[in-house]
Amino acid sequence: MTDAKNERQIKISSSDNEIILVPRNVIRLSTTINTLLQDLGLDDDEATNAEPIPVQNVAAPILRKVISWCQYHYQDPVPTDDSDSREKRTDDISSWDTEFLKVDQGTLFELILAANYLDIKGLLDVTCKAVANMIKGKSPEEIRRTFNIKNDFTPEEEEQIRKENAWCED
Amino acid sequence: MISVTVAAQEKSKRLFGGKLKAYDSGRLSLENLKKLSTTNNSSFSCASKFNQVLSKLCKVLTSVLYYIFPHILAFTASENLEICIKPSRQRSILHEFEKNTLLVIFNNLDSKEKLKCKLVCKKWNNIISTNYLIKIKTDQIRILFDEGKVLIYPIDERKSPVRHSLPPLEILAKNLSHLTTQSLFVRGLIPAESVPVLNLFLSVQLQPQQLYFIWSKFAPESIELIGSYSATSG
Repeated sequence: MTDAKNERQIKISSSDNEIILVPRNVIRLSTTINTLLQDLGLDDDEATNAEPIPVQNVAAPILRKVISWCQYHYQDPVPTDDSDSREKRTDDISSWDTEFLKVDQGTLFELILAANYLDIKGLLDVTCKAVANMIKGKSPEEIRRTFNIKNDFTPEEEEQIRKENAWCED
Repeated sequence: MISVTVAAQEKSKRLFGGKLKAYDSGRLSLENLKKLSTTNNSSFSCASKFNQVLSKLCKVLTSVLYYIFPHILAFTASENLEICIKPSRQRSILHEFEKNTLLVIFNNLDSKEKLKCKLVCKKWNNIISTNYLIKIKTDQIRILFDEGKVLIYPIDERKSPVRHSLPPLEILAKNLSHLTTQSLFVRGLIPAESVPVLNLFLSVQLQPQQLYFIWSKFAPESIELIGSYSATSG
């Protein structure tokens, strides 16, 4: 593996116009930026992007956090995505990621939106796992309170679903 | 392989139709299938209406006060207004997540957690209902038409079966749609019910390994359905 510091740097700019330099190999994890670089013909070693690539939907603090995640994970083996529809484990978050995800709920959601926009599958998976862990073991009312979701069911609708669910309890 | 056991009873004491609720019999009221149980919620809507009126009144009051004493009350009025318009904290951005992102979250949840999440809000309910075929395994389902009972035996043998009263066919289909079972036990089916009930079993895909009909009588048209049921389950 080549040292990331000696690699070609890519300029990207956040939604609040901050320019951040990120090694080419690190930002490869973002399918969105990777595809863009290839489409623009900026994938050769000599090519440099004078103009930063705009990441309109992500502000600098979140973007820096996303890049720090990529920096740690860019050498990870590519996961095989054969089990997409299967129920997954959520207790397998690595200790580094656990530390990384010790953020407030707003930041966590911003990270999910950023991972979604930049199309970074690994980051999207782990952040969504963290949210799933927040859902597990809670009652519907507790989930609503945790995420500040409004209950928009009529009492009848809610009762109907409750009745359906009752048949699945043991 | 599927085994179908049919034990037909010669003389049926019950009549179809008529006073269905009598004797706690499980006769399905086929005429009333469309009628869903609607419960009274007048007290609830009353309360919510009252709240709406109250918040409107509050808004009007504060704006009137604001116009009368613009300088003195400028600060308090705006504060009050904010309280009236936004009674709760700002909504979480989780609510604005698009479907695909929510699906990545829900993919991490098992069937029971997904069923629970259907109760959170309409958006979650729709996403989960349309994207997942949630199936919970059971050991045996007994549908006793003569007693008007449904017994669901969990896979875990130490747990006792759960007893439900037999709902209208439409609701029965909904309630069974999240279940699969090792064996399906049906008692006291009468010819008039046989076709809709067998159609129901076909539609909800209980996937039983064994199928038992006890004291049941079938309409001639339903025999073919039993055949196709065995074909799909086997």
